[in-house]
Amino acid sequence: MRHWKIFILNFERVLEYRGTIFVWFLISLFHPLLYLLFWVQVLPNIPSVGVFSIQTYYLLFIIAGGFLFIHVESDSNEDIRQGGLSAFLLKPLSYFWFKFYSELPWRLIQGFFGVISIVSLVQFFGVSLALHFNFTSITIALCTWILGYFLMFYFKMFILLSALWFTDTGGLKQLTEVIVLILCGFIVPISFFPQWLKTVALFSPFPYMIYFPVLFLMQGHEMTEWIKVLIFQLGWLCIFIGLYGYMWKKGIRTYTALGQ
Amino acid sequence: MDICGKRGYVPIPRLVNSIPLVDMKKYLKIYQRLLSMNVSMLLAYTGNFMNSVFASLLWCAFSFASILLLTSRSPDVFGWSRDELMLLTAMYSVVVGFVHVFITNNMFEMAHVIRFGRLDSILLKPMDSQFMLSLKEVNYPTVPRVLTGCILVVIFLFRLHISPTISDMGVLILLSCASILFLYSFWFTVMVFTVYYPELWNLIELLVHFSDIAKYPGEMYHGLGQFIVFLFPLTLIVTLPTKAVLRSLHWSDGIILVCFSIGFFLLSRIVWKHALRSYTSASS
Repeated sequence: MRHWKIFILNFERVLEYRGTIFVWFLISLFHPLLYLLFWVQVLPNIPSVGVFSIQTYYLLFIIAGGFLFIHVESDSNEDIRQGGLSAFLLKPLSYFWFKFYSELPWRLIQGFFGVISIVSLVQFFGVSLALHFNFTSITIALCTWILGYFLMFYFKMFILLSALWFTDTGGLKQLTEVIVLILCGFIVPISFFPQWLKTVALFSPFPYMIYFPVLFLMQGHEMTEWIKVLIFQLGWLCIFIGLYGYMWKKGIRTYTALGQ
Repeated sequence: MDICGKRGYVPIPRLVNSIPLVDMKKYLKIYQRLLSMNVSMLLAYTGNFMNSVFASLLWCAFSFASILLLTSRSPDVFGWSRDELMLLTAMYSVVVGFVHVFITNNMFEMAHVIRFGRLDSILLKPMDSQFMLSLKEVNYPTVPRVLTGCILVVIFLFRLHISPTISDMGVLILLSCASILFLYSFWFTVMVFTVYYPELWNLIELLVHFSDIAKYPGEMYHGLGQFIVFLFPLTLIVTLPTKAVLRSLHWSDGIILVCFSIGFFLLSRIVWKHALRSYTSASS
């Protein structure tokens, strides 16, 4: 019950910033459309790749960008550098869940904006989507989206917690942002990567955060492929949960704050 | 407060006088002082400086990596070869890098100053408020990005077997300055909206992302039809200086860019003066 109440309180707080959310959404809308514009004009010159699927891919990235691109790490300055973490330590709910519930409303609202914009594109501009809908595919896609969300959340929490050691994590944030953007298939679908980069990407956790959740909403996939991806997601999630526990335990010992 | 006009308009002669060109010597002296103040602040946080240098170089590398990935399937895009596109990206690093050095941080700060009602302290100073808001901070850590961009421009010109003449360089510098002026004026004009709607403080984030339009050849946007009217100047700011060195520039495009830059700069003055009438502080 308290989880629900904290979530609702955060939801109400976020709704006060409707203009701010809308601008954040426009940012997540802009890049997929820019890349789509590029590929739609370039792909007809490249045989063996369909324009139809690339359109669906980038349009789904608008929803994924809103829902799965978590930015919890931006709180590191306020929470750790300025000592705001002290207040969370005294509360009867872990810091992890407080951050989780403060981030979730932003993601849900931005994801919702993404859904509205795609429905509008389909309804009013006649844009076609190559989606694959049946009960099994929706269930599995939903699982990959939820697991992808948790993977991204844990990963961003690592960057947030790294401020316990480094204080200023600006450089690390930028570095991880670049890596995530490339390896989650945001610029170019991973299937378009050169072979060596594709291998690197598939062994990293990043495609399992966004790329596969997006891909599984698209045209049909083999059951073995679904299971493989789900196993990779669960594997990375177990590693992340263990690593988070270790980082929190070690990091909290180094934390100091004055006058709280 | 520096409010011009009683009915919300600013007479043109008065507007021109309000541009701090008339007090050029005074403002140059102030800016010199601001530059040295920024160096002092930089030296106080060397760790942060190194971190930021790394981050800015990383974004420069990201621009090149994305072009390499985007052209991995087709080396020839919109009539531009891969090396020409890399030259365009290097020019993007220089032009947009300059804006990041001198303008971007100030626009972020402007949003916060207005949001938290701290504009009073700037309005009460005996100098132009737009000047102070636009140029107070200098982001030195982005200088290596600009320098890297310059080196890469030379490298890709060499790879393309192009040796620019002095007149080519003159046109390149003129168009780059016009592009920087346009980007600044466009950003400032949009950021003035935060006076009316302070909750839109993150508009600058959108504008920074929006400048990525300039990273791709202008030809990419031709398919957009009437939407291009809105995007048009942004598609020119890097493409035209690059075309100047590639010697494929049409002089009328260059004139359009210069006119847009001057027009937007004057517009930014008008909207700022007008917006100040709506500014309410938080009793700071």
